[in-house]
Amino acid sequence: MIRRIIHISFLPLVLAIVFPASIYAFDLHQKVQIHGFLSLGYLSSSGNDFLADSKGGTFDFNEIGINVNSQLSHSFRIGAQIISRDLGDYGDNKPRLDWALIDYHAHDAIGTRLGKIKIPMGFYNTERDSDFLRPMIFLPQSIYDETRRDLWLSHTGGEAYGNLSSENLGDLDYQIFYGRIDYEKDTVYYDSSLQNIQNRLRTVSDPNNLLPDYISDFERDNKYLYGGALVYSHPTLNLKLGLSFASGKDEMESNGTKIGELKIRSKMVYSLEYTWQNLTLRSEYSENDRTQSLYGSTALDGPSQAWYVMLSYSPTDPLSVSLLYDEYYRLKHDKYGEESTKNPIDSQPWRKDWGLGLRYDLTDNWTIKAEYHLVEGGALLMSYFNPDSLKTHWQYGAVKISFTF
Amino acid sequence: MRNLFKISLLTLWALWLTGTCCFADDVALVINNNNPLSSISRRTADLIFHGKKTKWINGEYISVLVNNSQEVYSVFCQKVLKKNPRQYLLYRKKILFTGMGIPPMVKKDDEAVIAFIAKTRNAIGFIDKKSLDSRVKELKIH
Repeated sequence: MIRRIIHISFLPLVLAIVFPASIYAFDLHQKVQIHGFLSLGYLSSSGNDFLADSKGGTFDFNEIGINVNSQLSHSFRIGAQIISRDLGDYGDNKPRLDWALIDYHAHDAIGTRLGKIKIPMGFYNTERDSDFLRPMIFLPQSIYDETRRDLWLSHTGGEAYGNLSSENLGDLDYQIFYGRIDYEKDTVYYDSSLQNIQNRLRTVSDPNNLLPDYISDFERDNKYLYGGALVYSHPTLNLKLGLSFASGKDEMESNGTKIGELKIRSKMVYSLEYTWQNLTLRSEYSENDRTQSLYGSTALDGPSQAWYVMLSYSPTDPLSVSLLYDEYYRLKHDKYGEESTKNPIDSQPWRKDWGLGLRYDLTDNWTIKAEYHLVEGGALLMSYFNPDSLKTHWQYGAVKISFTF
Repeated sequence: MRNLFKISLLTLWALWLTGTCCFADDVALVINNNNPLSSISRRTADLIFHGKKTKWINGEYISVLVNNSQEVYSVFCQKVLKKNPRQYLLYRKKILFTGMGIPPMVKKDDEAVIAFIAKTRNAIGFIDKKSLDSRVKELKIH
């Protein structure tokens, strides 16, 4: 095992020597451009399994993506990205459409995108699949929960976007979107929801015998999703402030009968990123006010609460060290589940995560990262991965190399 | 778990020790000789190189070039964009891989930037000040 880890750690170094970076340097002068990325990782945990059978360590942790862009005119662009990923039992490296859009941008203040578009929730949701864009391997899980990745990744619809700038006041990027999410079944969230429904069928009172004893399948249909994002950039300081909002509704059906509904009344993310010399501070706070019903009874009602602070220090340009503190509560007003135990899938409805991460950019194209987390709590579907013995205190770590061209 | 972390830490520490640093003089923004502008603010330059300002005052689209010569690129990022070179690289990659757009064209050195701008009326780039010649015009930052 250790030998494999060493091989993974040094692989990018060897390849960087064999393949000079200049081969892969962006040359964006072509009418049609093709770019891509590859990330390979190793995930290990102790105490609990995390996202995979990770207690024994797993190499089922990778992403491969390729995109094509064509600038048809100064204001008109089309592009698409295909991604294949594997994380534990999910993904299995089947190619999927990540984003595909038509972009019309005739003026800096207003543009339009139509197609499958990334959802701008928080500063980093749009870069979920691009490991090489962020300082740590995992985005802070309280806001960028990996188990709910497919709920918030992208929508099929349209958005208006633009930038309003002022010489002295800074500039404001905005996005307003409306669309629908196409859910896939090969996801943690689908399987855990199915398990949740089956649990409910076993426990719900059904004196008139109207409900099925068991369902093996259901459809999740997003009726609508809309929202927006604002990002303010200070004119002289490296300071960005952001506000994101979304609202939507899903319905669940089995054999043509509606069995449940999830309504997101409002999901808000407040974001901050500030860089001073070699230090970068990132912090976000989020509440997701939602209500979920299953078979006519309320399974969940109220806002979650999530926030994190991450401090990154870069002693040299290619190296950065990041320290993270991350907190999540499934219900803001019942943080430790003392008042409500309605959702058996989250027996410990909170999570507190201390993380330490290292990133080294070997070249402009190769990145290697490692991180270690100390965690308390089992929220965010840890019960799904550890149905028999969920530990309150646990750890996980990961190593990952990424290549882009 | 602990061994994994220790090995990763040692590997990255060793790589850090082999890291390089940059030395360079001043950089100049350069434009085509037929471009009537003579100066812009640092803020405007920042917006142009981040793709947030895409047209010149006369309405022509701006064609932006990034000089990939390591020293010049590093000084430009720090002095004009007020970012470290890695941050600007990641910004350009983010635009590309999230579907937001196509980042600026990259040229390998001063000569390639000058040659392109000399024949492209709407282009802007940056070079080492020592490489300035009559084929292009310096765009002062005020």
